[in-house]
Amino acid sequence: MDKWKYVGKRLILASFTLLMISFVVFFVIQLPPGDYVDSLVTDMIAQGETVTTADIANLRTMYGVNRPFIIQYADWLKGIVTGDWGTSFYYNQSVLVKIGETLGATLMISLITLLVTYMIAIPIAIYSAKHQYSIGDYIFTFIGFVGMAIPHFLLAILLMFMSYKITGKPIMGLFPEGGVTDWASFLEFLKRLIIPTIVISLSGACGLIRSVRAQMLDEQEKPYVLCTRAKGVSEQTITNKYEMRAILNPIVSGLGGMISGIFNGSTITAIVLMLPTQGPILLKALQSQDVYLSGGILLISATLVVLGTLVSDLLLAVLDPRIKYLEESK
Amino acid sequence: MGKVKSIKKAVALLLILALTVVSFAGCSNNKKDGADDGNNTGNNSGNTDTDDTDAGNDANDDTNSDAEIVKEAPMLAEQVAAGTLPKLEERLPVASDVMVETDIMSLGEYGGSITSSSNDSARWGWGPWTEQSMFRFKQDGSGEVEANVCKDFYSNDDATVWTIELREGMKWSDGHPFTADDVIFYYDHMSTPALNPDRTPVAVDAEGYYPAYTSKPYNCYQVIKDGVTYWAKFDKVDDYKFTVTFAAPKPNFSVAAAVDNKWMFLPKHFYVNYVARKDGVADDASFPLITQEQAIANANKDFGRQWEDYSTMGKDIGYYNWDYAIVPQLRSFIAVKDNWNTVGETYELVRNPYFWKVDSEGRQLPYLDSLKFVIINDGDQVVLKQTAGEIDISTVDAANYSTVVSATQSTHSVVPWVRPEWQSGPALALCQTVMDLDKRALFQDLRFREALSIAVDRNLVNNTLMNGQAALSQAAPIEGAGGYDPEWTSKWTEFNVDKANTLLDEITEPWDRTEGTYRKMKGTTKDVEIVISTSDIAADGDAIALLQTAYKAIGVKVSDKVDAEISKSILVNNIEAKFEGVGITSPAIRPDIIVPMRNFSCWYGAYGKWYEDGKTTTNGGIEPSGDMLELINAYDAIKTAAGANRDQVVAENVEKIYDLHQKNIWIIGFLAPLPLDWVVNNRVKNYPSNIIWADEYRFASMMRPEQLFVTE
Repeated sequence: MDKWKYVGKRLILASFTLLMISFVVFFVIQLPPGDYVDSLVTDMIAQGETVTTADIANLRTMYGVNRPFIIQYADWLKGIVTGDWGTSFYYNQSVLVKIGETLGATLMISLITLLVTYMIAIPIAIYSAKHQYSIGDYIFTFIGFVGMAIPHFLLAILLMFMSYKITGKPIMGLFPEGGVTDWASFLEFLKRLIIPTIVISLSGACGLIRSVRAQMLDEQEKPYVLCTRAKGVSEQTITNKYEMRAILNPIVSGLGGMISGIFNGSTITAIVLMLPTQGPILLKALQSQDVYLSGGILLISATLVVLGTLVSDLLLAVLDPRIKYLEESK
Repeated sequence: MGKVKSIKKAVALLLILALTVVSFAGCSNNKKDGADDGNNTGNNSGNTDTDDTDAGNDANDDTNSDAEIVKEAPMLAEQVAAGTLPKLEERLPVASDVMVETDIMSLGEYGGSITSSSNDSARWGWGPWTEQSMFRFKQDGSGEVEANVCKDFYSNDDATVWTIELREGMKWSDGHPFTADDVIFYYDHMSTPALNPDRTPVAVDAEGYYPAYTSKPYNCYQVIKDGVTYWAKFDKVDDYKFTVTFAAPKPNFSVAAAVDNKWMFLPKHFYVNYVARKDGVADDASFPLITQEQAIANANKDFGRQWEDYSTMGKDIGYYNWDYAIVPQLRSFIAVKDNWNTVGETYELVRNPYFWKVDSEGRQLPYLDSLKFVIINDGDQVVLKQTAGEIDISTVDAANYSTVVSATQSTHSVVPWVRPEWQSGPALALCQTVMDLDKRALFQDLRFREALSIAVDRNLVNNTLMNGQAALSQAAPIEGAGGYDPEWTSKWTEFNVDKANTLLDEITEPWDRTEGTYRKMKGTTKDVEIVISTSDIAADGDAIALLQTAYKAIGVKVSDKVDAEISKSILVNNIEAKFEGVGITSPAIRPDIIVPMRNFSCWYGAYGKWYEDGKTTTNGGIEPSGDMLELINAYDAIKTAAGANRDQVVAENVEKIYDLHQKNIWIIGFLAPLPLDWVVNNRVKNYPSNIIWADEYRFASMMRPEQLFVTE
């Protein structure tokens, strides 16, 4: 029963956070001076059209920008819930359709990089902790710090340049011309996946290595480890069976941040590498004050953070009895 | 062991012998083929010229020539064979009306694609590659127009009635016939705003007013008679002939249309679904009456968009029609998919199977299967691709010239084109109608502009921005171009800070030249400051920094303002200065860059609005005076010139416009223009050089992309 109470509480908190975020997002995207009709009218005049004040009033009514902010927000929210996210002013397409166009590629890159992040980070972190102050540890620590310090986009540019120097062809974009249709184009696609995967994974992996390594080192000296070791249990079993459970905490609790990091962090990288993901679309939407499109993408991004945090909270409760204990003692 | 060795030796010898025989045979075959090729080419051209007379003489020759001259691309021939495309004769206009293009350099071969690059908002970038105008400018740069989509055009003696003949049997890219109905439909229902019965425009605030469907009220269809504007009337003579009648002589109609509304046609059979006719006619089966809401609903369904208002939808699909692959075109290449605004993808345009031009051997153009544009926004990514040789045709600027050209010297060549520009690098335009009246007085003062011009070390600008490639110059027409005057080129170009300070001392408050202080405007405590607007600080930042340093020495403060929508700021007269280059062939052809006749350029600002609004100040325009008014008077004289001495009047007033610019230097330039350097893959053939690159000549369309071909 307590478990469900905890879950319920988290869910209520998450939906409240989401509501707040949606309000802030809508408020922020309305902040720039003027509204869409203003830019539409100036556009029309620039194109040589003559616009009367009556026309402008009509347009305002049609686009609903003359209504109070709170009504517009309520309308937008209603649309979000009912599946009508509005129309992108810039593309004249449904926001959901526009987001959907690149959602596949975005999710694919995000999932691949998430997997790669864990696959790189955890073994390295364990190795580093187990071989503290060894040459290997120093090398990985160095790489980790460098990876954290170099901005992703710069790393992307450097790798792009290296790809050009090595192969004579700079690797840019994600899908080969004409899409993936046969084995050769699939290989080409895999080749193009290398740089984004390295760049985006590395940023998450470097942070993760540091925290998992630190956690692992803490565990090394814990009495239960010493006791187990004294009993003659092999080091491998100690690591895999006991210590791994302890280091799951930083891995899982970092999930929320990691998901958002991958989603947002790849924006600039995507622009640099010309990836057909949300990044370039978001940039365009913000540049052209396309409120519904940018609002939609920002909302998804924020939702991912909230969902990631929620999932990690719930997982932690399952994995770590101490959290349950804490909740109960409150 | 020894036996095995000798068997191996024997086999090896046999193999060598066999290889030698084969390779000799190959050589002789090659030679034979080559010789045959040469002969056939000779025969072909001979046969083409004397087909009728030779016909019966040599049956073998004739068989050869028929077999050799393939008149359509293999990819289309396959479709014809498969029954999915009509035969070539049915796709082309009737024989007498087919447009035969002069060969650019040589006859081409069918097949292949070429790759260029474009950014994700560059509908104007790739558009001209495939554009086909009713009348087009000749490739020789003479400024004359010739028939293109139309077969012929001519006017009556006083140029009030123009007759335009179309090509019989010509078809849209969907196979539907192209006739006078398409032109008249476009003009009457898509291109004109609400008109009174006498063809004067309905006032915008009057009842019954509506804007043009495409939102563009084109100047080329209007004449002014006794101070009143009249719109032309289009009348159909037959399916392939129509007339354009003006209320007053319009001798420059063909040239004006070639600049203004070169695409004066759209497929009626397609657009009737999206145009709500306004003339109330309800019984026309070819154009049924629909409401605006129905039109929007149809468009949203067919184009897969969500337009909410009629005007935006009309402009998008009517004006920017080439954005959509679904719209039938007369263009040489047509889009496959509307992904031209998706960064990282390749936007491909394939040959139009109904294209109505042939080469001198009667073979249907275009030669290329397709044009491909890699959609890239970042300039450095383009340079990286250029350097890697992945782009067949692209331009390169002075800053990246050596990088790109040296990296691709074995595969690409540089082909220069002429830019009819007045400058390279930055050219400073001070808005003559800037809102602050003290500043306006200063900006309008000749001495202020002279001081700004001579306070700049042009050598430094050249070495910093252009790798030292440009000559030092005022913003002025180049040698060989109309308006060229060496005195203008060198006017106010000496580097003389002291003189600049002396000039400024006369028109500002006294300045003690203390480091870090600036001059004050006369009678005020306001700094003399120029705020330079830029939409791309990365591109303009270096130039702005150079001016900041240079003008510090004369007590003039320079700031930058990043403004993503400069054209809108110009519209509402909320701009002080920007870098604004001039590139025109002649003010008689393209006036709006150097004459304030449209709300378009920063340097003349709201004066253009005054002219555009019918010489009124009601909508934010400012009435010009002095030399600025003289510019407008000269332009009006060009517009209304008619009769026998028209050419002379035009020439005189063009000269006058140049003189006024030379006198006033409204746009301060620092470096002479450089050629436009194309970097072209050596496999691309028929790429012409020294062509004029100008908007009015439609940029890339001048290379005649339908005649480009590749050899692998």
